[in-house]
Amino acid sequence: MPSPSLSIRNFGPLSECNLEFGDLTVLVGPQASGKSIALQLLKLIVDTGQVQEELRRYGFDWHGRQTEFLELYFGEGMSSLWRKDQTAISWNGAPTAIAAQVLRQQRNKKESLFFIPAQRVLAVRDGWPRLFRDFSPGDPFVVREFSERLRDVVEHELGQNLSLFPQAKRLKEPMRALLSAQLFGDFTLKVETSRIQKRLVLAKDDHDGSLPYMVWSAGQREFGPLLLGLYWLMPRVKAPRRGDFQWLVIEEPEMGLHPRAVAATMMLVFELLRRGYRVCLSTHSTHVLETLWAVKNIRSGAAKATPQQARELLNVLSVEPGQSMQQVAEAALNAHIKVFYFDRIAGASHDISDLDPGSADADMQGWGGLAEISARANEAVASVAAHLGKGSAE
Amino acid sequence: MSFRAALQATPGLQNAYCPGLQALRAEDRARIRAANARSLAGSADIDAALGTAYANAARWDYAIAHRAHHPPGERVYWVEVHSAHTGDVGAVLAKLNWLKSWLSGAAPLLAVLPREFVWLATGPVHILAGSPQARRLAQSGLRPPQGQLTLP
Repeated sequence: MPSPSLSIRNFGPLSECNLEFGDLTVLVGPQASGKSIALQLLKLIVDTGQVQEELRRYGFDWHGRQTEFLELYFGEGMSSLWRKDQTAISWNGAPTAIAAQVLRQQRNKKESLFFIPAQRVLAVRDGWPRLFRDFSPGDPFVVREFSERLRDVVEHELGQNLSLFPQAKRLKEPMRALLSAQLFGDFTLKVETSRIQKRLVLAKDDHDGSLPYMVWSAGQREFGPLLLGLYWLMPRVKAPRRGDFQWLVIEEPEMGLHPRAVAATMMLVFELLRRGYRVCLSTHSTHVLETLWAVKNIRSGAAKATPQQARELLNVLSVEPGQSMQQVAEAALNAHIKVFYFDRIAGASHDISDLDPGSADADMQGWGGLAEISARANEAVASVAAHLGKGSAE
Repeated sequence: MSFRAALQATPGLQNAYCPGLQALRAEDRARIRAANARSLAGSADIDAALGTAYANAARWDYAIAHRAHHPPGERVYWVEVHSAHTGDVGAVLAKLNWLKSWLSGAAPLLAVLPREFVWLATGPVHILAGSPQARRLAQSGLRPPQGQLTLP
């Protein structure tokens, strides 16, 4: 079965963008290069009917006008991204008139793509997920929807269980231990009732009182909502995936995290691959790409990952080997991984999936700018050491 | 002094000068790209020329001279062609150590020419720009290995 593909012409900063999705697809590139727009467009194409339905359910009306729909979906001021008679979108090789489709109610209202936006900290206010309508009229759909999902998780999904993390049966024990060690220390993520209001807190048995959301570390404030979102995608029941969901987008999973916590988060991403989700990430983290570079090189063309290769990948991520974690590592090693660089100046995407640091292609070698400063630092230091004769080999 | 004259005045390298990239083996020559072939000022197979005199040394592979415009003059690229795994860093640094020591002791006329040390990878590069191994190389005057050397 061919890989899904998305082509975008003349939409916002994207003049020529061609994405062929793998099991794991990663987008890199500077700010405002179009990564988020491409991912939001993917959501709109895959879930057109569900987006329409969701907006209507919460009382939004775009009066049959394309401009208003685009403002509602992408956010205020974003309708100008769409250029009449110039913007062209293709999905799986076929042109799609998505701007016209959104004006006709689609019959298929199933949702198959879950979107965890970069603005996820905004989904929590006063320690509790915000309502879909509790945002400014110009806030993007994906932020509203994510917030609503979080609310669903903490209010309904987790039932009366006030301890959200760690929680038995939600993730395998070694994964819980990994996340606990790297992201929450010895604290428990739980729901606490303060006076008459519930709120998310971090608490510890030997610690008096609990820590409200605003005093969490920046990384915990970023990761907490991400984890709850992933809970929603990983039901307690035996089914590996939730409902009709096939896709997951996580924007900048590394935000605020120490490299060891990024490694733990990548294990969580690999767990989603193991469950059969097609995952898309955007990132500014060299650690994310270093992990994928390791995956590609450890596998090194083998048809199927071996247990030894899985152990090597776990070693890269400082994860204790064990049966369940080994399965997660094997899922990563067996995955088809694609990496695209979004070149803001050219307005084009560039396939850099090989991540070859010896490539003559500067974008490939520098990982779309992520390794650029390291490379330049090496250049400068090597040049000084070579010319002044100050370098010593050992 | 030119690269050619410095070579001819260096013990063991009197006959090592070759025009262009002719000192390089064909498969190694393919790893070098010159925007302007006329800017190449010659090459020498250091490893072969000094094989007898320094039989047991960890010898460096090649010297390639290039005429630069900015700043004007000849620049020597000291090129080692080697596999590029993290485990190769020690071996290549040992060769670099030998090269520097040989330049300062036995080839002072070559040592004063502007220079760059280059590691060309024979296969995939397994050393990342941000890695401790790459930093160790840089401090010794060597950039991380690359698949190809492009001369301006």
